Amino acid sequence: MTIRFVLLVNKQGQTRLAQYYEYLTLDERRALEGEIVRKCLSRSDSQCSFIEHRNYKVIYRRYASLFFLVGVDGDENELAILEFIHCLVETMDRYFGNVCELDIMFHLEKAHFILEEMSKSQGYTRMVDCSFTHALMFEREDCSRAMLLSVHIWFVMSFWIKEMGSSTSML
Amino acid sequence: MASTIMESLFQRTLEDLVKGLRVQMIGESRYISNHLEEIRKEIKSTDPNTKTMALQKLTYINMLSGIDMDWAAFHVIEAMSMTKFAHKKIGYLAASQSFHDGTDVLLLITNQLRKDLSSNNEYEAGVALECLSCIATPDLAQELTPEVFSLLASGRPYVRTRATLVIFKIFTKYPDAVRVACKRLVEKLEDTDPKVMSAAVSVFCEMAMKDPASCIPLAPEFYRLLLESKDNWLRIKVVKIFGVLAPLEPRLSRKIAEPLCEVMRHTVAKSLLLECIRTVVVGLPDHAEALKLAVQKLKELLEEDDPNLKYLGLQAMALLMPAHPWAVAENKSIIIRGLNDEDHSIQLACLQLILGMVSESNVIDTVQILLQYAERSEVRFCNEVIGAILATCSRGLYELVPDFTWVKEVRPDLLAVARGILLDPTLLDCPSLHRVLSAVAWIAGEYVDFSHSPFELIEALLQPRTKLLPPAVQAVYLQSILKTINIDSGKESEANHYTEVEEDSFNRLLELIEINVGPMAEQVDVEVHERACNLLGVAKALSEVLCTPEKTQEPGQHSSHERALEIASFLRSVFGQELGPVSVFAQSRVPVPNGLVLVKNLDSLDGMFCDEEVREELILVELQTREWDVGPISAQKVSGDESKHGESASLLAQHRQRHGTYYLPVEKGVTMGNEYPPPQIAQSDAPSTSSASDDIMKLAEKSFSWTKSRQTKPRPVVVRLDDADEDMILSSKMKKGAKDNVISNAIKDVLVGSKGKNFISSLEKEAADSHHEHGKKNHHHREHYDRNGTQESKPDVLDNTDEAVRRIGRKKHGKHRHTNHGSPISNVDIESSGKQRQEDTRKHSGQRSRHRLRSPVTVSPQAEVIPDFLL
Repeated sequence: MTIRFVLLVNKQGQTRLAQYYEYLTLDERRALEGEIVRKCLSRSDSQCSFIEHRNYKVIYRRYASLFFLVGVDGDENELAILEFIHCLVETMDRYFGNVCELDIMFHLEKAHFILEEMSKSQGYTRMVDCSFTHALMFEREDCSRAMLLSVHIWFVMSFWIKEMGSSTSML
Repeated sequence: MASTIMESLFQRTLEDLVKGLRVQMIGESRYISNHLEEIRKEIKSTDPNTKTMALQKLTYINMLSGIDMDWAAFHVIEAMSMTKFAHKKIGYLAASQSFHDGTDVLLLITNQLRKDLSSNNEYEAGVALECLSCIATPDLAQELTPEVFSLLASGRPYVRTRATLVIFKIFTKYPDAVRVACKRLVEKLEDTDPKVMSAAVSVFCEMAMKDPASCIPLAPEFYRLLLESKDNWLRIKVVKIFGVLAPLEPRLSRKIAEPLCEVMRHTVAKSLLLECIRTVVVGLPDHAEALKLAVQKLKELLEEDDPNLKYLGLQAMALLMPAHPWAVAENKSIIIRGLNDEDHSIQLACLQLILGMVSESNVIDTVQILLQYAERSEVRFCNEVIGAILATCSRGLYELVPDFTWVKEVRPDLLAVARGILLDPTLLDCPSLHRVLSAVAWIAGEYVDFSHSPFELIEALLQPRTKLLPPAVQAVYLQSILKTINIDSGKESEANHYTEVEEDSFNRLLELIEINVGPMAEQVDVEVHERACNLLGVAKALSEVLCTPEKTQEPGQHSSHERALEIASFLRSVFGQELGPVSVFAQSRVPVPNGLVLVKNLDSLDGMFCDEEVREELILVELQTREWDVGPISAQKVSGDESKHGESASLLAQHRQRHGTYYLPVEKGVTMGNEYPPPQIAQSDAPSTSSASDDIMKLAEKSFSWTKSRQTKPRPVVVRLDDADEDMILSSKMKKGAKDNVISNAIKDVLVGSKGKNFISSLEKEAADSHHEHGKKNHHHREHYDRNGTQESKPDVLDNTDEAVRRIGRKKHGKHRHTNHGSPISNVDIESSGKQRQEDTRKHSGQRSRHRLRSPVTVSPQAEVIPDFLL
């Protein structure tokens, strides 16, 4: 299990989305989130995006007012995780159209769904494909919108997969 | 009916909840608790929409605010069993988020999961798989293995991918599943769908991290993927796998060096590059070309402006450090510059690297540079620098420090820095700094001579917030205060210029001590309590003397001043002697006095032994034998103490004879004396001879309140010390228990003979070529093996195997218990080789190794699961 948790936190330190891939009790979660978020928020842009916390490595990236934090275990490739975060944001961006904190708050279940799909295989975007928009269709039972989304996301994903394949991205 | 419609019409959705949360005026927690009331009502509704909506709200409240949702477990199950996918999904999400091993309703969902797993709808199977990956318990994993297994062959890539991933979770929970599913999982490496392939690689990557040896048979597959795949995500995983496999298999590292170099030269993806560098550093330390390339690339990373790359580069450097210090030294200037970086973690990484480079020749320069940095940088980093310097200098009993006069010169500097730290009250709060503080306080006390203003130091040491410190640190603080005042008073008396002002300030100081230390005397901690009392006593004595007004003194008495002097000089003599460093050779320089025989037998002093000592020793031995299970380290200790043990038992017996009245009456049938069985005897037979030492052990047992029964008391065992390493490896491997063996055996079953024939032959050829080049003398030897079997093996590997077997054979006499933990196969091996060993002597070992080679299943215990088919 390489990815242990994914957290979306705003600048005030409020959790906006959380997904754990191992069971922690509520108290443990609260403590962990508190400590990690405090550490991350206190860092500046010119510092590196990795912190070590207990037995986790936390890789974070800031987009506008939102921090994306991914906790992984010892031997995960940090740069790949940064890339994963970027893909996640990119996908959400395409899906919501210029995603912002409010989008995620008001469409919690969708944001969560995207995150879930993307992180499915311990973190690799390759796992994402248009199939999950079909699943969204199931959920919303709103075909026209879902079709539109499907086209959107299909486009995003094919773009990103191509990108990763030819490795033109920064990392 | 009407009520349900009303309910669902007026129910607040998740969106309403969030909107409400943003505009609420009553406080977030109150708003949520109001809402929870509503949810509790709604969730009992019979209408599926209302129910799942309530559940969804609860799930997200749980996720965002950490509100307990265990109470809703049964409703979660109800939602899971609903027919509509939208409802089912909410239920599954709630389950994967809130269920854990302790959830009691977990037993009820097995059938529901089974039904959904075998559903025709791929998304239903998908959510069920995902839920299973989150909440799998050993029971669930066992029950559902067949379903997941059949999903591995599903026609839809979506399901196949997820099933592949879930298999890993099942393996961890229910290792026997490996036997069933491994073969199919290996097939997934060649799946037509890249997603499935990637998932399978991920699974094997995780397995390789846990148990690298089990994945070695798959090396040809991974090699193929490394060459063929164009996908960076996949290649990262594959390279990572090779990173753990290569150290186990030297031939593999030769094989992958070239492709890795190729990747490093051409890739633009930094993540892949980084992974390759790590693999080269860890896995191919002997491959000069690859290493050189990796170091060069690493340097490029370090020179980047991006802090991320810099940090990761430094970390990779740290991996290089132990084996290739030259690589670090090459980049010294970059690393030293890194000390000025504004990122704390980069600074720390640089610091570690610099201290790693310290050697006898450069220790002084390095420390001077670091101290300069320490003075300039902020307090927190400064502490770390000082702590690191001290730690490095004291490493290996100061072996690095060539010149202790230099250490002395550094001390005033240290004190200056220490003062800075002590004066900063904010540092007291930070628990990670407590050890540093304690060290600093000690320095302040010990070297207070160098200080210009001891008063200031005392004030710093007496800050009220020191009470927040842990007792151990407090104790150090108190001792430092004592040292400081004593020096203080001493100085005054010596200088004999004793102005009013100073006396005043000294009095104030004493008052301060009484105020602040007084409460500490009430402390529970013994150390703090005692030191505080001592300190108070001294302070009181001093203040009494000083405060006695001059005029009330009777003429015959000493003046208060003189008495103060007396006390001060006495105290000073106590602390005055400095504990200087002692050279390693100091003792040998002391001439032996005439008439002193150093090698005389001290047996005649037996009588002076007091029984307490003997007891302690015996208890110690007993404790160690108890720890015996822990591993070979304690076994070493035991073997070290073994001789002592026999001695002490006889001593005890003598003592008992002499002072019989002080002993408890001996039980019937208990033989006395020192016939403690010799340790080499196998410990399987229970100790029928409970000796006198047993009584002591019983006593000890009472005092330690062992609850465990002592039916089978382990005996100390003599282990040859040079076997210790092998012991360690072996026992740890065996301790891993059945699971890994199951996995590796299963993989072997699947793979041996069926996979990677081409790869094997190519490797074979290559290995043969390389042997021709640099192994003429082995040539004859090798040909012999070629004739013997279809598989050839390198002679040195064989020797290792043989050596390991012999060692195990030797060990078998002493250690039955270890073999019990082992896998069946290695057990057999050990048995047979143990028997062989009895007839075979060392010179026959060559023969035996050939014999072993011919036998079909040869599992050498050292390279446990590495069959030789790579050749």
